Amino acid sequence: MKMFAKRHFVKKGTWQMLLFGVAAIVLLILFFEAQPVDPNKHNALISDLRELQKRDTELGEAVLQSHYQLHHNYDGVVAIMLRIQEIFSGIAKHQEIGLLPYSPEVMHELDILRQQIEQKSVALEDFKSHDAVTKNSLLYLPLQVNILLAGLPESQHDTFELLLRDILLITLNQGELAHDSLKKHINLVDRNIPNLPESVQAFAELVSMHAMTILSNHGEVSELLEQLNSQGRDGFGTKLEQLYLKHYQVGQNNAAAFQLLLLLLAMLMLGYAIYLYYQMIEREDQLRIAATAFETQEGIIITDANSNVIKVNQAFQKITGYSSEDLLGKKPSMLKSGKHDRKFYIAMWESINSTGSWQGEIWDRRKNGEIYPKWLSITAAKDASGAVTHYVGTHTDITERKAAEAEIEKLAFYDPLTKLPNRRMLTQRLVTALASSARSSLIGSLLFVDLDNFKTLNDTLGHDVGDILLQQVAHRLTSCLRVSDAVARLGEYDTVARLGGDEFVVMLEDLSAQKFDAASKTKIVGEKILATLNQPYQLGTHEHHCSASIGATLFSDHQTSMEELMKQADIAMYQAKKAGRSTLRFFDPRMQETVDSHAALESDLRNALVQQQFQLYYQIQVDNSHHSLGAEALIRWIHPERGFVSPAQFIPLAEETGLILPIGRWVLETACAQLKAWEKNALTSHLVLAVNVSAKQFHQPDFAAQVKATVQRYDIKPNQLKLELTESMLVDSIEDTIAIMDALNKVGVQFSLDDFGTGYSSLQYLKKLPLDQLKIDQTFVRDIATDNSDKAIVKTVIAMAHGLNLDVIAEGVETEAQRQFLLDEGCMHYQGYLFGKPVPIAEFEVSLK
Amino acid sequence: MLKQWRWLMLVLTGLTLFGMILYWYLSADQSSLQASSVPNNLFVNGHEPITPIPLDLKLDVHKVALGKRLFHDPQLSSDNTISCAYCHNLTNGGMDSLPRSFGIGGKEGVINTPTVFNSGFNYRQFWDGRATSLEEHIDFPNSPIVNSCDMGARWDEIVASLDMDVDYYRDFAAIYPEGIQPSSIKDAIATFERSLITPNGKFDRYLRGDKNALDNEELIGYSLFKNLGCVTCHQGMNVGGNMYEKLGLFKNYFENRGNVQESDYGRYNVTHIEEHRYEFRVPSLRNVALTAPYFHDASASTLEEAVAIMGEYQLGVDLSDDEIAKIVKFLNTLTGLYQEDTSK
Repeated sequence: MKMFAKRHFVKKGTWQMLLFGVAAIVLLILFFEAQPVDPNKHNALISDLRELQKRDTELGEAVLQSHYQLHHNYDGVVAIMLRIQEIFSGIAKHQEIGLLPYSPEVMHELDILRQQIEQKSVALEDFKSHDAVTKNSLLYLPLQVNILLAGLPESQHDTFELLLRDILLITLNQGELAHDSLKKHINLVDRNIPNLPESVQAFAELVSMHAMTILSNHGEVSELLEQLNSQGRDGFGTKLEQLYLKHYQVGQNNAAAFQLLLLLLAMLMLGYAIYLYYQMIEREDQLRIAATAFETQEGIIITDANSNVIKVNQAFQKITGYSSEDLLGKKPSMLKSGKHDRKFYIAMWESINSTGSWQGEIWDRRKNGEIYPKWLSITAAKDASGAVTHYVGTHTDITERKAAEAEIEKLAFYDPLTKLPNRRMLTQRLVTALASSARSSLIGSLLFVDLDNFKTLNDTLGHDVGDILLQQVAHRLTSCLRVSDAVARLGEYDTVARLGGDEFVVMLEDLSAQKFDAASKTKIVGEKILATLNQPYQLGTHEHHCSASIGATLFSDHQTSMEELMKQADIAMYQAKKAGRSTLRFFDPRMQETVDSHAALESDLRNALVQQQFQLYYQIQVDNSHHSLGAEALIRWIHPERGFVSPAQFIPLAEETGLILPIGRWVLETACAQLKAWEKNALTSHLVLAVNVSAKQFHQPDFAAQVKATVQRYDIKPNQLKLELTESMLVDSIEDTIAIMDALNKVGVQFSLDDFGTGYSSLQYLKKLPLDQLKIDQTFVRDIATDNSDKAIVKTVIAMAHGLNLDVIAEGVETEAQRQFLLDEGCMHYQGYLFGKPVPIAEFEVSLK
Repeated sequence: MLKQWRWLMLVLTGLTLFGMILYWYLSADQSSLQASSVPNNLFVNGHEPITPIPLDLKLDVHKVALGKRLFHDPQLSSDNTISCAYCHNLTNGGMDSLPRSFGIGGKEGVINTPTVFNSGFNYRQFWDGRATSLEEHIDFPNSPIVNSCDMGARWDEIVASLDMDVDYYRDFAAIYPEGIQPSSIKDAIATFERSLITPNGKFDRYLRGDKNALDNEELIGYSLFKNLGCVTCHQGMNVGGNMYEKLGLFKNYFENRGNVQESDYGRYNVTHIEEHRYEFRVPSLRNVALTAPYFHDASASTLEEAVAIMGEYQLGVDLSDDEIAKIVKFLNTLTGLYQEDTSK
């Protein structure tokens, strides 16, 4: 989280911080601008201006009062003038503090005011000086006149009286007339002074002087009075006051406007703050939600673009066992289990890089080493430009789920009691087996195994005991299958299932391509099962015997449906029960028969050797001049009841059951004995006896030794013994074959290749094998007279044999034409009905004569 | 809350607080322009031409004390020899009783030194009224301090030398925020000078209601003073000192005296208006008995002489000896008592 904040927030944050800073400064500015004029200062200025006017009026009054002797000293007017000057300088201070603006109008008015005040000041001074003088004179003149008149005769009084009258008029402001008159009278007085008695001359002079003083000063004093009483054009500073008030009003209005602006801005900011607050709350909520979401039950891991872990949640730590410290800074690959190959991870990353995400099951390793499966989802988080900034992985530990799934599977497909596959699974496997069988053409079989009298057991001993029995049965059944039996060829493709109750099913697959073969194998398995199940069971304290009934049916392809098969097996099982229990029955009765007869034959065959039911018959082999060369010994089985049993019937069975070995040994011994017997007779001493050897016999490890031993035992000429091999036994292990043949060749025994051309003919064999003779099969010989192909083949075989320096003998020569042809082609030796059938020894020897 | 939000809130709050404090500080720092304590009606005490001086002016005692020191401090002169008290001798009626005072280097002044007592009540200072206040009179051109004739000091020197004195430094710092400055020096001296009042003279007591303060002759002298018209100019609280008047109303004083000098022009030297030539600020008659010689040119060495000259030239009256004597008797009652406030 810190890493997020550092880079991104600083960028955005600086911008916003700047904005807020500017807003704060603007707010402060507005705040100061919005200050209304301090009412105290405003009132002070207004009161000063008003006082100025008042004092001005007061001055005028005071001056008048002084003049008219209502006030007897000048302290008052001086004080008022001082006050006016004080107020004026005070107004300058108002200007200094910004209350009164420095506008031109104001400055002009202040100038005017200053001039007015100065003028008044000067006028006042002048007034005082002149007024004092005039006052004194006015006061003194009448006194002096009195003294003067006292010393003057009445005749000379008028001038002075007139003088006094003039003075009075002047004081009453009677203008020019009085003025001139006074002047005249003063002049008169002056001129008359020398005429006056000396005692009063001084007084007269004084009177004249005082009158003169009054005359000259009075006008001025009046003027000064007027000047000091005038209020100027507009009164003292009225204009100034108006200007100020206007300015004040404007200022107040401005202040109000700024206040409004301030309020507006403050409201805006408040609104914005609220908005941000709610945004913040929301973001906090989201953060909280994210944090909550983060701490879910799912493990979450966040890495940077380089796959370095930056955060893991609790769940992740719990699931993996790694703590946050263990993982931080490392790569998630440290959790690899090693269960997935490189391709898996490459594909995963490809998906992430191309689509931006990947989901899937992955096995990881816990800290304690335990490997566990998890369902992982990886998403690439991209920024605005589309570049990957982080990878986010969420996973759930699906160990339990998988276990549950397995459990469900188990429950769904397995019988809980016996742990065997249940009906459902069997059905599935059966379907698969049918398909597989159809493909491979190999036949399989289905065996229904039903326990006999199980219900009774359940009722008497209880269900618990019954369950134990079932379990033991299941165990035995599976053990049957596990043991690999050379006879019963069983393995991984077999199934044992429990259908329910006491019913079990065994499915055998790929038994054989042959129906009968498959059937016999089935029988074998079935009997094994019966045998195993028949063993006593230890059920707690009880020993219990239980047998089973088995119903079997074969399947090979889709011709029979699965349900049909099940039904068949079921029916067969009931047949088995009906037949007396503890037995196996096939569904197909013919099959059953076949199986039965086959089984009978087999058991007879086993006895045959002991019972000496075998005989060797001999079929003569001649050359072109009808001389006997030898004979082929053919085994015959004469059963007391069956009569002659065709070798075609019992030979395969012998080979199948392994009885061919003792039989083959018997054949060999009998043949050697016979040769020995023939040695004595000149008629027969040259005869070569050919004996058929089965592949099984031949590939016995001690075959060569055995033959050698037998030859030696009977002390016969080895080269009179010819072993006939068929092509089929040459398919496998050609090297072994050669080795054996070589070994016997050394002994001197002859080899003949029987049925050449009918099986896996390979010219390589001819080249490699130390053969002595080649036998042309009767199937070719039969139609050489008519069939051109056969003709060609025979011709070729003969030629080839000659070419390879091998003897060649034709089998199944029955007509002269055949013989003739063969002779024409160069085949000198013949065997067939034309010359003689296989007959017992006695008859054979007779035929030689 | 994101860290960055908390910080922002803090900053805003801080700014707001700061702004508020700033505003409060600014608004509190207004020079008080309250309505002055000037009385509504300045026009009082008009029935008697002369009013008594107040008993106590309620001045700042610290300033007065400091001013007193400065008043007596010769450092205020450029050669550190002369202090204010040298010419305005407080034990001698506030002046030096010389026709002209002597300044630095013994240089003679041009005019008779007026008394310093009650000088605070004069509306102008100097004979020609060129200074409108006591503070102003200290450093006016031709003022005692700056005039080379008198004290001839310059402000920088004075400030420098006062600065070096620890006591001055401390005292100034205690009273004046600006410390030792010409303004504070003037303020201190002027405050002291204002404190030099002489209330409770005989006549003042009479004015305050004590009918027995004046004897018969003094009373007669007072009424003569009034009736002859002396009181027209020598009126008010300071018995003069509040107006200009020409010297020589009925006779040409200067022509008769002769040897007219620049100092004789009086108010003309300030206003340069012809009408104002020979006009002088009317001097206060308080303590006049102590302040011989009289007039700006010290032409009268006795009070009787002065009264006679005044009567002749200003009133056009030839006063009799008896009248003069009575008037002089009255004038003597104008002598008051300087009581120094020793409570500091």
